Amino acid sequence: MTIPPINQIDHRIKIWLLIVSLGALAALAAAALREEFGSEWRHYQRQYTDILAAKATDEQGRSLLKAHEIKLRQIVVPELGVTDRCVSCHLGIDDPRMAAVSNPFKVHPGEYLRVHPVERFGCTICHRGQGAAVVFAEAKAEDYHWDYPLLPIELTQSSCGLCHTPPEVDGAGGDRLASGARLFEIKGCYSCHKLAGRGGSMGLALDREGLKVKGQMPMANVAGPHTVPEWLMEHFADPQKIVAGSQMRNPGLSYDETRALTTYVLSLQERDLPRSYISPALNALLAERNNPSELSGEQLYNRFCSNCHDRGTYGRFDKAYNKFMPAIRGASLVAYADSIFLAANIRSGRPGTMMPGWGIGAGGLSEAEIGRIISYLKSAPLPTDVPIREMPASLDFSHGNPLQGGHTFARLCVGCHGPGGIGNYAPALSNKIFQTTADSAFIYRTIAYGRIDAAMPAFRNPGRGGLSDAQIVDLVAYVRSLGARGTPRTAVASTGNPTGHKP
Amino acid sequence: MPKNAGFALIWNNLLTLPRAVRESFARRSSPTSDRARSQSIFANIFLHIHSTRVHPQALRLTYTWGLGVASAALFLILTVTGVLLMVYYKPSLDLAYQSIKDIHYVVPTGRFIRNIHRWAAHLMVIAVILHMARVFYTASYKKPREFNWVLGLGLFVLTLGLSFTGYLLPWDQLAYWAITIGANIAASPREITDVMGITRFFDLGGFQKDLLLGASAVGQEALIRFYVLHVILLPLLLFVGVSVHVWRIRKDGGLSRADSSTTSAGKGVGAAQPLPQPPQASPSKTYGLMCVVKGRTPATNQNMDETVPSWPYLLRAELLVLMVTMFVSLVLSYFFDAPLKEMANPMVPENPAKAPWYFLGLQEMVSYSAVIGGIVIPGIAWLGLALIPYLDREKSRVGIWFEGATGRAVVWRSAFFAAIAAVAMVAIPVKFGWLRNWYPQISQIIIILINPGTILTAAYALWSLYVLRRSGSTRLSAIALFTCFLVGFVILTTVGTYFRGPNWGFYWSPSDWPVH
Repeated sequence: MTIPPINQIDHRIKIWLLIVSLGALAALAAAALREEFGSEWRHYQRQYTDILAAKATDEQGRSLLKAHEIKLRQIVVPELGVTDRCVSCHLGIDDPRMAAVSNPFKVHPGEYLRVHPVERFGCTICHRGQGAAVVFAEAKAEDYHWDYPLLPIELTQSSCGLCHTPPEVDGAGGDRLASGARLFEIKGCYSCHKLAGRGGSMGLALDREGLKVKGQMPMANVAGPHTVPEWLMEHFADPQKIVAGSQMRNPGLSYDETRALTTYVLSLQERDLPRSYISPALNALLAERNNPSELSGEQLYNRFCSNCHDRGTYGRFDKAYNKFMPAIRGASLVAYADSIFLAANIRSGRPGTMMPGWGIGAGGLSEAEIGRIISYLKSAPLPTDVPIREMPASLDFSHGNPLQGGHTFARLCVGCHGPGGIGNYAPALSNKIFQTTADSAFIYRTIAYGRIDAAMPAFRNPGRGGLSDAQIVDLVAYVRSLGARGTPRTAVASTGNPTGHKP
Repeated sequence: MPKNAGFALIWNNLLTLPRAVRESFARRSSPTSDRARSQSIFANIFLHIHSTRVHPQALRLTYTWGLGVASAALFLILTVTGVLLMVYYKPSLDLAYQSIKDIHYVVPTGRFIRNIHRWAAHLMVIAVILHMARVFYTASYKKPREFNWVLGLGLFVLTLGLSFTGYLLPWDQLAYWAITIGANIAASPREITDVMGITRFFDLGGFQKDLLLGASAVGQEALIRFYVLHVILLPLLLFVGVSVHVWRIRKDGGLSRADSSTTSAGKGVGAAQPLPQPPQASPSKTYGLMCVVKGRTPATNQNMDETVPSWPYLLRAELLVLMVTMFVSLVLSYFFDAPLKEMANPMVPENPAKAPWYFLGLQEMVSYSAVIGGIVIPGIAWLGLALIPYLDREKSRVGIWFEGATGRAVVWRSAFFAAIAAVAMVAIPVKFGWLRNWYPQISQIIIILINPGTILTAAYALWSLYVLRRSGSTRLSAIALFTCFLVGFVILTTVGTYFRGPNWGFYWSPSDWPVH
């Protein structure tokens, strides 16, 4: 192998050294130039200088022009964890003369900044977005690695909810938030979703729903931009489209209502903001958490029960859930059931069914509130045309024959209540709470006379089976034997039935 | 004495001040003779790590490609930019991410500096791997350079360690989940201890994970640990290691070169610019000293005529490599921003969560078994590489790429075999599943031990044994094994980087990924 003379090698090295060094210098210079002159905010600040000059017609205008420097600006609010450089481009945000200029120089619309001085609040606490950024696309952060992109302007009111209660801002710039909060109540969202520990358990608790980030939402079926607000909007319009198999009932909202509800749900954040920022009304509400203000039985019913049971005066078949919803304010139920039964069923629900428990530790209702709900249940006007029948006094339930009852059950009841009473369209009879709280008389009357305005027929009627008292007593004995949950066989075994009955 | 003599003296001293300072700084004036040039190297604490004279072969780009110097240059760039970043970076969970954002958006040149740091780190990993390949394929690990090869492998691990520890510092989603994977690999010996049922008494995996994270999950403790490792401990170790590595080059006989390489060096120099020879031909006292040391120290068995002074030739070549490295880093940094994802969020797992690219080949094997793919196979591969100089002591044609035509053929055949085997080991589980799909009842230990990763490793080992048997040459066998591992690394890394999506499923393109 021959190596070229050293001076030849060295010559080549020298030339390349020159070229590459110049290249490196050029790269450095390019980077410096780009940073010094290529930045978006400098461009806008220069434009703003011209705007200021054009408006410098009076003494104040001239002094503002004179004071204007081209420099990076930021608002730092340590209490809120805010470092916002938005004002590096949004330069006229608090200058009322800038009403007619185009963005980013426009003055902030509305009265918001008068009560929320920008030095004390910053921008991103309300608008979200990436305050640290000095490039608009990255500040907006819609398609950028940032958890909380700029809120669409029509949803910005959600941020009012960080410091205010929705009613407080109703008519004061927070109408949409207030209307969303009302919808949350009216549409019965509490039936399935908890807030502050109160509500149903079919859905997720929503206390921090507004803080969720993109990666926590299934975005596969979202048609619009993959953001949390968009997810909520499309989800409220059609829950099953966004989450296949979702149990959530379509709330049936108009577009405007969808935006309002989205605004409200986005406001649910449970942020630990300094108390000095929290409005007195919200402070009071937070203080009330453990001692909720007194709601009437009707208000409680509407909030927690109406989503499934509707008015409660009639039984109805729910197509979405494929179940009969019991008429819990129906004349018969209220007449047959005692308060102990009702209280126990509200308190503990029917485990394993769609009916959740509502007592302390489950749905979060106090005993007093449950009592008020029961009063409300019993307050429904009784129909005058159908008599509520008492039970024959002479019946003795201790001698019912569950074997006979089982045959009757298989003939008449199993279609709706399921084999062994495990529940189908109609409630589960093997349910533990039902078994331990319903007395035999209650079961007898329900079978014999049915439920007025509900799907349960009166089986004593000749047209519906024409059961005799003895047959019903046997049936009651069978229902009682369903004791524990599970298959009929184990249920029978666990009650120690000597006949070894197999339905 | 004239009245103004004092002033004239001062004036004269002022005029010669720059030269005087320079001479005091460099301890001598500009060299004009070869001997003085040698002295320039000798007398300088930074330069004396070089030989005073080198063979021109060392200056040929197509021999070394400057990869060693480039690695060192990248380390220098990383140190400088790293120190600048340290000024603004705050290693705390609350502040780390925000401080990176500030570096990106408002710190003057911060974004550029961070980009340089990021790309230089990636480049350094590449440079170190290529450097290793160059040294291997030119048989430069042969006696007396065996230990420097082992040392280089240590530096390779340190380089990966530095890169990996730096990965966590931005505290974004990328960082959090990559390090979570890393920590779980550290915990993976539990796979074995669990099967043996001894985890309760001997939890090596748990210990390693605790040592790495200082807690049960990636958090503040891990951040501080990684920070300390990244800015102090590992750089210091690397610095010392590199110093010894370079010093050993000189002590082990200079840059490797072919015995047959001839040169017209000494003569050629004179033609362009006559270099006065030292007054006496006998070695200077320094050479004399060297005679005391081992017989194979550089200058003793070299023909002085064949070498050229390191000053200025070698230094200029090194400067060129430094500038090229700098240029590449700068250009990359100008056009591509270093990634920064959302702030770390333990509630939102990245899917797929990917380790840094150079670990994706391992992650590919980790997807079959963490302990085998993440610890055992890399351990065996590293050990195998470290043992190569001791197992292959055959007299080789040092300094010849691929050992000439025979070796070149082995390289091509091995590369072909390795590529087929690696692709097959990726494709078979993707297409047909693996043992668990075929024999659902099979014991877990068999799943752990017999996986595509181990089979691939075994195939490579068998291939090299086959070459050994066929050729009877340990050198060719080593070439076969090294080529296999290099090609396997490249293919698995490529698959991990470009063809793996959510749940480590195979996708031809990220656009096929299911949207979550």
